[in-house]
Amino acid sequence: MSVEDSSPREQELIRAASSGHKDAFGDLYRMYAPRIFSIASGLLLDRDEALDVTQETFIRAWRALPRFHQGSPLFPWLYTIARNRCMSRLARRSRDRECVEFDDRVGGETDHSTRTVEIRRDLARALAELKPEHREIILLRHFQDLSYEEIAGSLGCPVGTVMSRLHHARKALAAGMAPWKED
Amino acid sequence: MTCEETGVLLSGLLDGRLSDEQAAALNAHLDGCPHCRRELEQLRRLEGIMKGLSLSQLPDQVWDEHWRQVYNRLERNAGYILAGAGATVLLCYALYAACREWLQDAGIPLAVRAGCALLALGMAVLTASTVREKLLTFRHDRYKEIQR
Repeated sequence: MSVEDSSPREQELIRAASSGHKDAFGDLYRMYAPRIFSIASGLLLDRDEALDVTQETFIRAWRALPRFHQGSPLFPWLYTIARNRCMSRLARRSRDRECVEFDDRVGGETDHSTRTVEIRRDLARALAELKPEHREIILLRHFQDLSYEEIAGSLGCPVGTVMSRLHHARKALAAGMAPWKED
Repeated sequence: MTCEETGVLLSGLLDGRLSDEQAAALNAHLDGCPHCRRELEQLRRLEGIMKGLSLSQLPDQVWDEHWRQVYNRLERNAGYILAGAGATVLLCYALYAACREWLQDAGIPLAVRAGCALLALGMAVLTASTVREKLLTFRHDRYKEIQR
């Protein structure tokens, strides 16, 4: 679902959840929790912490939902909450722990070929070595497929900043993927 | 156009975000700059590597279980709020009843009563001022949904 356009179904669920209907909130949870988890997991490099952040995000969202601006898309708002939780956890940490984890399926099919496994492993390691801000924008652009406008809305920054940050992130990632650059 | 200016535009080119003028200027620079051409090629290769990969996800049953945990926490929070509100009402009533009884006690000197009354009034003003400040700050806080 695009995060720029809030669908009528989403708005209906938001209205119901704002009035205290937990089942409607549950539907919103099922719509967005996997995405929030996915980015949190990539940012924090820790699945357990990402699950905690996802839970905290939705509990905070539930409390703040009556003040949510009706008509706006929900994802950027949820992501802002999740991002702040992630950043405060990262700030308390001395170093990152694990690597980004990718799905075994590439292009819809499971691929365990040596080359794919090696590329995946090196990409995961290179992503883990990026600054969180760079890792975040790569995750949003390449693995959540968000447009510049959607990223700008989620990060609360101008589109020009998105392009600039994305470029620096890509350059840093390319440097970390050096063995594959000249294939 | 310098190589430094070109850098950010390379990403824009990859994502199809450049205006016709920007694309023309960039292509003119690329024609004469092997360094930037190589950088563009590397970024394209990186795109190719990432294409088709997706972040690992959890199975649906994990989300069902996780939602139950979230639901339980939401429900308990409502319980904490109700219990807290009840305790506050009871505490306020107890304080009011104690003050009324104490003020009606003729054995306490007037100076002590006046001092206590002023102290209570001062505390009330401070409390009201703090609450008002919090409310005003909250109303104008753009990040009120966000954790501190």
